[in-house]
Amino acid sequence: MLDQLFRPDGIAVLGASANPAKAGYVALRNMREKRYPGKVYPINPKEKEILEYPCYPSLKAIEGHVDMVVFIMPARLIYSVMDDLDARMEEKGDVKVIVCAAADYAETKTAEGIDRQKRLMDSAKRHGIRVVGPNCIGVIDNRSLVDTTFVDTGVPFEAFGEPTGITFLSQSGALACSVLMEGAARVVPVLYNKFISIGNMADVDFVDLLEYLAEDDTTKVIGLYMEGYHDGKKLAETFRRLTKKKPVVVLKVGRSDLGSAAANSHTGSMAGSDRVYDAMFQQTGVVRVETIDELIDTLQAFDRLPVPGGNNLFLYTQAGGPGIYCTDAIAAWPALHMPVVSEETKEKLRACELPMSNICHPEGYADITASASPENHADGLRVVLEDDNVDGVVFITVVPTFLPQKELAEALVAVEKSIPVGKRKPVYYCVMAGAYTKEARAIMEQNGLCTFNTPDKAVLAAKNLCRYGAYLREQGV
Amino acid sequence: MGRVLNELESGRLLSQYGIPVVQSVVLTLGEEMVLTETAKKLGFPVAMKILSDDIQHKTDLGCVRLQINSVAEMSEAYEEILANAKAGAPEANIQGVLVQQMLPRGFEVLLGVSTDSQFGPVIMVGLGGIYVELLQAVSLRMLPIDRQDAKQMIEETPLEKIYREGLRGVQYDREELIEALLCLSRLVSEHPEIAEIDVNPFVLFGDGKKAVGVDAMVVVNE
Repeated sequence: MLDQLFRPDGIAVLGASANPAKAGYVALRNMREKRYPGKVYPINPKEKEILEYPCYPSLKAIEGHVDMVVFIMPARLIYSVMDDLDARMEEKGDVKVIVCAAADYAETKTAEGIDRQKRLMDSAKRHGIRVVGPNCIGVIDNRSLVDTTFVDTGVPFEAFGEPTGITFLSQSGALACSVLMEGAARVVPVLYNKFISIGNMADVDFVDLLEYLAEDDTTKVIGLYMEGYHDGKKLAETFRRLTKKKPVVVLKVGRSDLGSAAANSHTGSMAGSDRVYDAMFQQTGVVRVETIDELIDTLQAFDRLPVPGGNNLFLYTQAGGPGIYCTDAIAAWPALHMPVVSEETKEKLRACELPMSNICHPEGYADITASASPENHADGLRVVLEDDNVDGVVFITVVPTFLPQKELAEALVAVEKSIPVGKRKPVYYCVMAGAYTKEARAIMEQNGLCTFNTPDKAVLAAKNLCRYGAYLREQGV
Repeated sequence: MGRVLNELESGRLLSQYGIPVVQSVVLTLGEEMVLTETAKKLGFPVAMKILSDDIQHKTDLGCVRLQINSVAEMSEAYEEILANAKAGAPEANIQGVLVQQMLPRGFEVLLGVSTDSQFGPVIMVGLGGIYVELLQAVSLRMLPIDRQDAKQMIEETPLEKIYREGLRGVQYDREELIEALLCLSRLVSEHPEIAEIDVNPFVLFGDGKKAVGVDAMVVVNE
């Protein structure tokens, strides 16, 4: 049933507008820009066509098949819209799913809002139609190219890479927007696989979607923004089953007592004690993150990198200061270890690095110095990755002006590509020096490597992958 | 609302499930022979307090005596506690006088179970005694838990450091606390009517001497 949410045959848009400043225009423009191949039917009695899509006066007037209806019209119109939908269903019976983006429903806790949501759900239930929302920004599937959101990322669609394996679910529309926009602002813009803002969860909720995504082959990792869920035990059971198949990364708000009070009045959710949520995430293998940056970094790392087989993290740096800074960041996480590598590895490292390099003081650490060439960078990395005691590497380079960054990036890509897929270990590339290293990072990212701009971000992603790996081992997966 | 089991009932339930609690005896007679026998069983020093479901603030009414070291002192305390109870709470139903072992100082840990409205029974471990509210250095898990959960819970609290490095020359045994957590988990699984358990403090002595729960309270749903 949720298939039609991501691969609908025919989409009608209530509240479609010819005014580029309106949400009902942006949604159509997004699908136009992505070249969504299916039929789009704007409902607007005053316009003939919008963005070359012919307009219709009502749902009932659309001759073609409609799987999905998107509501972007003002909430007060819900009564006449649902009458129109009822008429269509009696005649054609084709609609499977409603995405109700509009707000001002039950979340306002006013009598009017609650009554509007009731009108929406009464008809939907009677016809067996699934509802996403209300009070959300809608749904994106970047493989089928459905996009019912009215979000302008500010980045042209052609600038994005291939669709990733990242699917993101959000209880907040605005936070969903920022995850979309922050992703778009990355060195190589992140194209999410699926993206669902679920709002009030009047019908389709976290558990429905998580169950669906468990079986969704294009979803490799799931990101969640959540405020709370009414059935904690059911959610925990769903996570337990799901995390055995794929990683789940959660940004859960309401840590503070005040934050928790805000969540209660927000999407009308019931926020349980945050400490118990924390315990539940630990027990069900869910990775909890603290910030939007950490969320996107961690999702990208899970999408691109293999899950590490252990917590031994080698720190390979081209500069002393950032290396020490990063050592502190690693030491802050008791679960992470800087491993002792073999004498053979140390010998090989000495042979391929410059004479003044620091090899393994302390253990699990190498500083190859600022004069290191692209070959020094790449050869040493290969040696470290071959050591059995290394489960992953944090790699730091600051790219001085005399280090050719294109060559460096290509050399690192070549190292990764030379390792057979089954034998790959996660490498967290921290390419420092801000905008200056964009070129190197873009080459690396386009080739599937995972880059960061500061060591602490790289370490956080590493910590999160290690935690998930450890959970899988405990579960015997 | 649940029913609060008294100290004696709470202690019995916990020890049935393998959680060591301080030994105690209830007296309804103050005769010398009974007192001598009790002293023999518990060893000195002992504490004595009123056992009554109706009296909450025992110390305020003069219904608690600590550091008792002889049968003569026991006899005196017995009479005094009963008299103070009758004077301070004439309506109270008195079940007797509780005589309890007094233990040397140790490291105080909190063990607890509570019921979350969304997730059901939840177990808790952390720094106990007076630091509970101040530091909130506790770790939680949904019940039931397994050995791995219990280990991770300890790792999430400052107790990890104490088990790893010892404290002021005393070495502590991690297994002891893991076992206590697993026993609590089993107790709650077999008694779903339990709404709350509070063992604070659960006192660790280290160097091979067995830990003991001192103040234990169980609340059951009726």
